[in-house]
Amino acid sequence: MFTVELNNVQKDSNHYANAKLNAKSPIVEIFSAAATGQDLSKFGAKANAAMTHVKELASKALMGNPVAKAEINTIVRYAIEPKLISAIKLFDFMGTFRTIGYDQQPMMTTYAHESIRSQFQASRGDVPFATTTWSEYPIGTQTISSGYAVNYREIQSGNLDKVAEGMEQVQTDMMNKAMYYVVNEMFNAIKNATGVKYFAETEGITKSSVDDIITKIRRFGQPSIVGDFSVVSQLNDFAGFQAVAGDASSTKLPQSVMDEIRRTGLLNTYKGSSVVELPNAYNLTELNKAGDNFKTYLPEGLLFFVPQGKKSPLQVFQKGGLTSMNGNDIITGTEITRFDMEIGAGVAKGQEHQIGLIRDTKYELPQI
Amino acid sequence: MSFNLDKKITIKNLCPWDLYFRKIDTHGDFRLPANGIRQITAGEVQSQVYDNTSLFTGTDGQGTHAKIYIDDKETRVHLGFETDDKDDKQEVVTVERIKQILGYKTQKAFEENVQKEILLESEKAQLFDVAKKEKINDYAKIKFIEEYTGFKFDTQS
Repeated sequence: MFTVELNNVQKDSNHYANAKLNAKSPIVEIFSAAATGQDLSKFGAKANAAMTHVKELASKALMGNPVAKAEINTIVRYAIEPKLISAIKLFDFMGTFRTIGYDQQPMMTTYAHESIRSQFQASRGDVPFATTTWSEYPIGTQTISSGYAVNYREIQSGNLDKVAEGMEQVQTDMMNKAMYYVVNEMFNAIKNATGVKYFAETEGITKSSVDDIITKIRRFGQPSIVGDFSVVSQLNDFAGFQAVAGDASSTKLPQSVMDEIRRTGLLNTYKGSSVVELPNAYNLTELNKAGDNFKTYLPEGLLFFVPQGKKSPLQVFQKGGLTSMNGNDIITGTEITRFDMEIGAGVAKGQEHQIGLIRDTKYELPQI
Repeated sequence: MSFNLDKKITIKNLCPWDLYFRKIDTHGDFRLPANGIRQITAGEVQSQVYDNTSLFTGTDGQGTHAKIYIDDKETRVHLGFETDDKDDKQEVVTVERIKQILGYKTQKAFEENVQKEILLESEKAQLFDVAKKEKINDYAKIKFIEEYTGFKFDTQS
């Protein structure tokens, strides 16, 4: 467990500002290609020049030059960012995802209908229509950080193995944390909502529970079915048809569905709703209650039904881009590079009922 | 005397939301509507309990804080949730019990019993719902319920 103490952390933007360096700069592309083990021949002579520059930076960084460290980190940051953003785009399937600038405040939008009944008009008569009013309210953001220990001496020799591993880890870690945060926000919002609520508990996901909730949510928009593999994979059994109508023991799967399941392990769509698997990694530092397996980062037994469309009640914001910084781990003295991302998520107030939730009681519900 | 597995018994949903489970003895799903009752064979219930379906067996496997109440003394005794003794009761939180708790005269007795018996998320939701339906009219109790369950009586904000 590495920690960067706040008193020695150095924001890279304090030391290094190069307006010309961006995600499309050749040095970023070459660095990224070299770290991920791609063919460098397409870059021609530029590849050598770029790698020489990186090595030079590393040897300067090794001597303690903060500007060189900041430059390396900035290059790494640009290399990670597009991959991370494409991973974060998964939120698009779950709700509305927006990126906003650093100077902006994430604003949740919630809608209400002014209830004048729209009516049929009498001949040559006037007719009232309903209108939609909307209001906005600000939500806070959460900073998600991740990082790795760097060995500048290794980079100095042109070996990018550890950097590649670190980049990989940063992406996975960030994604886990972002997912955890969003799922928690969603779960808590539904849990604490009163009034109409589409919630059911099942022992094993049952077809009738899923069908009931889809019917209820569909009026708000075509729902996405979102959950961990252990719950979304249970939908596979529902895709069949009955050779003898009404006789459950004669259920068969069509070839097309079988192919789909064989390839991906999952149904792509069920009753017109796309089925989305949330990546959920094992938390290797904790065991489950029974002690026979690891805990997962996200709760396993939750199946969400999120309506799609412009007015999705789940709204996720990414504020600004990645920020990188470096510092020394106090305990080991290792050089740590840290990346921060700001994320905000919420379920629009008064619209919690638009998200359906089925809880599978077979899985533990972590106390969040 | 042998236990008749084909006997139809009544089960009761103690949650303010629908519960579903997959039948083991036969094909298909079983839906138990919010606060509703349904009829089922004793054999199916036995299969579910042996399968350790937590909806029936509760938090300890002995029916404590179960979400589904088996409304038949013989079955409960057969499955080991209760003994033959007339006063031995399976520890579940029913609507009647919640009404009783809400009726306690002193705030202290009320708070103690809530904290002792209302533990699960479903029981908290049930407490909130019953309190609303019973038109609870006691500021201290309302405040306590809001704080304890996390639900707010006033949803307009």
